[in-house]
Amino acid sequence: MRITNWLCLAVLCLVVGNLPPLAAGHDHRRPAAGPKKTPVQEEKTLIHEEFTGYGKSEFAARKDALNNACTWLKQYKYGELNWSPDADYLLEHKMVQFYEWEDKKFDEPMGVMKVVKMQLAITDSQDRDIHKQAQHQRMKERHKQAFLVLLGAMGLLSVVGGYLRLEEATKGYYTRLLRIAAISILVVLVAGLCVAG
Amino acid sequence: MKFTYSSGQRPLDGFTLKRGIGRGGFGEVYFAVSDGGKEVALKLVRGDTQIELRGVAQCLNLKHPNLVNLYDLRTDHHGDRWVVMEYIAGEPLNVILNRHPNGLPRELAREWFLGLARAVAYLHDHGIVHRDLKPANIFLENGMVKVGDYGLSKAIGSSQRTAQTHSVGTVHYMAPEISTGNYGKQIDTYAAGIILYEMLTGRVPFDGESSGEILMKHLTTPPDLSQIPTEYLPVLSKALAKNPSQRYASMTEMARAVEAIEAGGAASVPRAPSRVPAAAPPPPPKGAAVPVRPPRPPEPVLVALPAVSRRAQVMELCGSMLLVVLFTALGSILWTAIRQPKADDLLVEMGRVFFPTVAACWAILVPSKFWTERRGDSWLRRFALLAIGGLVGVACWWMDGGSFAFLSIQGAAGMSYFSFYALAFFAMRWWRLTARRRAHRFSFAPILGAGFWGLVLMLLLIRPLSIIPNPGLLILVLAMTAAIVQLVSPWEQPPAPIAKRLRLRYA
Repeated sequence: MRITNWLCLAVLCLVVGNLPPLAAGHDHRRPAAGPKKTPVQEEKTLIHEEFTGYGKSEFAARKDALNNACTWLKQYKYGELNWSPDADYLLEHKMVQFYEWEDKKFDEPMGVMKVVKMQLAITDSQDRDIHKQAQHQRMKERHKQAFLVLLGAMGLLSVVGGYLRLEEATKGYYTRLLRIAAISILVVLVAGLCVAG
Repeated sequence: MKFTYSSGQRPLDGFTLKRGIGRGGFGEVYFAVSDGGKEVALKLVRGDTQIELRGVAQCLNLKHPNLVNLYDLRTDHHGDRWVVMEYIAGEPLNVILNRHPNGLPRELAREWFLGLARAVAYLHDHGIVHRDLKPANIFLENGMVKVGDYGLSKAIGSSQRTAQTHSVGTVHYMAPEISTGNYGKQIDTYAAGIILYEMLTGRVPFDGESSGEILMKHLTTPPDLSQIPTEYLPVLSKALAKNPSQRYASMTEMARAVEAIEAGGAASVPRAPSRVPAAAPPPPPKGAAVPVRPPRPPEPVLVALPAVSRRAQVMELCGSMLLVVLFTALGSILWTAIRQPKADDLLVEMGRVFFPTVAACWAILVPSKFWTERRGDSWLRRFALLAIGGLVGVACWWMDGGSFAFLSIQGAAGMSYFSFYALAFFAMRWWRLTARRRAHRFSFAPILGAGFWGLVLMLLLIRPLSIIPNPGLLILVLAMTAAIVQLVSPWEQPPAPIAKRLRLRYA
């Protein structure tokens, strides 16, 4: 190959190698042609909700409040994404704030319980992160499905190719045997994929 | 194609059927093995048995290296008649011609025609007219021509057509006098001329939308010889004469005329321009010194592409598709090793390269395998690839976790993926990378081309949208596709390039 081709190839490798970091630092939701937003606008709060949690202990009450928030988010905000943030995610990304707790007496058998109030606030950038995370989760899920489909396709190709090669090599002497073997393998393969899927 | 009998059945005593290998108007042909182990072809005669069997009976004791041997004529328990024939493992000429839409190399056409001519001459010498000479009845086995299908052969003496007989031959190869009902062995000469024409140009001289139109052309239209090499002009003019008395008196005579054409001299010579009728060079003026042509140096002899049946194509395709997975997995692992993503993202990162590359490679390989390249179909192929690329784009968007909510940023990103792959597939002649006789086994040029188009399309379509993480991966997918498709596609050494002086000499 000529030296110019090698040079072009090197340039291409450099371009491909450098694009991901460029893209990674890019704002993934901002329209390119749109007006530039100020940092204050960036941090606009999209979701602002208060949740109450009940429990025998403060920890249990907090957990209950977090679960309520997660359920609410799943039902009303991120249901269509097929993924919504869990309690750990909310805590890790500082989306919740516990600001009030008290003891409250209820009828038996509940008795005295801790009541926790929690503020859920999700900003614009956190919302974008959630969308990215949801896409990432979907990607994982679909890669898994695609892998199973690919396995099936590879099995089918191997069986068809193998059958044809052997049938050709044996000139039809073992056609019936080969067909039975091929069908058996395919049945096992399909069953295996169904179980795995 | 469903055959009457399946593998393992023994409709005829002494023979076990192994598989059906062909079917025609006169019956089915099976590959079978005798109890003693002899491999034969068994033809189950259907339809008008009398015509078929009369021809077979005439030919049972003929022996010629260029004829498919007929061993016996048998009857099964149901009263069906079977012809026991020599089994030919090679391909019929029509399949080979399909792979050579511009005709066979001349040296090869000449050699194969001589084999055909010898076989037909032998039949004529024994008083047999084949009556159905056509490429589908001519087989090539180990470079040897074998003329088969004696289904319509009949004695020359009974050539007068009667109301009971079937129509004679196949319309593209049918001599004009057949319509008059009075014909002889010259119909084979005419059919052989048509076959020679087809071997040289890749097409028959008379074609049309209906049998009637083709027959009318046989009767009235002179053949277009403008694309015929000059040295073959006199032979074909004579063989395709409308009047049988103006044709060669025998196949032996025609074979001699073809034999006289210098062997190998024009094996790889370009043809005359299609629209300008080729004319013989003017004779030198009397008394002028005739220039002595210097002896030609040895020139490359071209060979036909090896026979690849549909079955073999499927086998090759299965192998190639499996190799795609292997090579793509290696490439993806290498890429991930270079990128070193977080442990949690390792498989996702690998999958983002792996799945789209496999999908793109398969999308190129499958149509290329079964769509034989013909001159002038480049744009049609590009548009087909545009549609296929669009589908690949949708699949890739799905695998990248995209949703198909229209009128949303996600929907717009999906459209970008669709457009990216559709246009990338449209921009390049991907099928060339899979051609059996491509110039090089592996070339970097298509990889660069794919990278270039990937970069342009990515900058135009993907980056402006900017919700797609790591858009550079799309370029990598295209570049890897260009590399892997070449690696997994079968390759054969193409013929040596034609020397410029040769091209000039025959221009």
